[in-house]
Amino acid sequence: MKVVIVMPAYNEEKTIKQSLQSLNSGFPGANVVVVNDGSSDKTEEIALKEGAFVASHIINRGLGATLATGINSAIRKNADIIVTFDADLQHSGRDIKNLIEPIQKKRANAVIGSRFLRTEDLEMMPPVTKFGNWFLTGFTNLLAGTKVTDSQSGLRAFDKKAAKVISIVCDRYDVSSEIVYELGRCGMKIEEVPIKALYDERSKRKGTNVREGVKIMHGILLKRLWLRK
Amino acid sequence: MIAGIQAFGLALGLIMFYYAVKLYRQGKFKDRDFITWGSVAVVIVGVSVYPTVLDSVLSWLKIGRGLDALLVLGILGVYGFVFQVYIRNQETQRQITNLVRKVALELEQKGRKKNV
Repeated sequence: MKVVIVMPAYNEEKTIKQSLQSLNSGFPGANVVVVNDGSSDKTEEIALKEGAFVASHIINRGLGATLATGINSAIRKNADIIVTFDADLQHSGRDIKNLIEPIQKKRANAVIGSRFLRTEDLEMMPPVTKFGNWFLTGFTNLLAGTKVTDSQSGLRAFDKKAAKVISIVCDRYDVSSEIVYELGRCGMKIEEVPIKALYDERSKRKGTNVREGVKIMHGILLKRLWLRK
Repeated sequence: MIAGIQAFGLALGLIMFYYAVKLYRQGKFKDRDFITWGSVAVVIVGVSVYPTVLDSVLSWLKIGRGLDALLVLGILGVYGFVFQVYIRNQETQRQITNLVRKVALELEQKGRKKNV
């Protein structure tokens, strides 16, 4: 089965080389598509030097738009399995093998790498992130009818069918909830596997803040009310 | 005598009319924009100077004075306008994203690792 890994990246010159190397050593042989979201640094150059496919947004459009571009690119490459993997060193390439197994064995259409199923790493997660994640996951599950433990995880895998049926319209961080919502709406089988989450000072600062959290709830609520396609 | 909120309405109407003319002359307003916004400005000026012109309509709407009606309609109009701008902005954002994505996919490159 052809696996294509989608790596959204915005000004990640400090971490992208290591992220790509972690991918190569943890899961060798995969095609990697780096979607450079209008970075003003050397993200694109470094990704090309590391041998990845690089699709560059000419201006910054946000995480959701970036993931949708990457998934589009993977579908064009006839991927059987599409994995999304953050470029900020939060994920380990070694988790991909376990992540895609439920799809390879036809048990699931989509798999979410959950940081909450590995309790030993939870202490490293900042309390605000932990609470925000718990709240947003509860809200998403309530509206989507799903039962995931980590709706905001950046490490996910889709089979071809799931990648084609989900409709991503949220451009920003609200895409994570939107993906879970869409998988639920389209009746896709979702599984979760535990993943290792690595936090440094930089990755702790990034991600969803309270403002983004409110936007996520707003976006998912609009979807639920059929106000958004 | 024009005083208080009447003066405010008059000033607002004149400023609006000035900008409508200026933007039309500069070609930044189309005919339709000029007619719409110019008319709004003229109505604001007219009602500010002669608040009694709307008396019959106002008594039917149960609104006390012409300028009160103008304020109420103005606020409602602003809500409608903001909503319209929001909708147009969303659509523009969506189109920009689609365009940016199309360009990114068309120009996608394959990197080459030197030591491979």
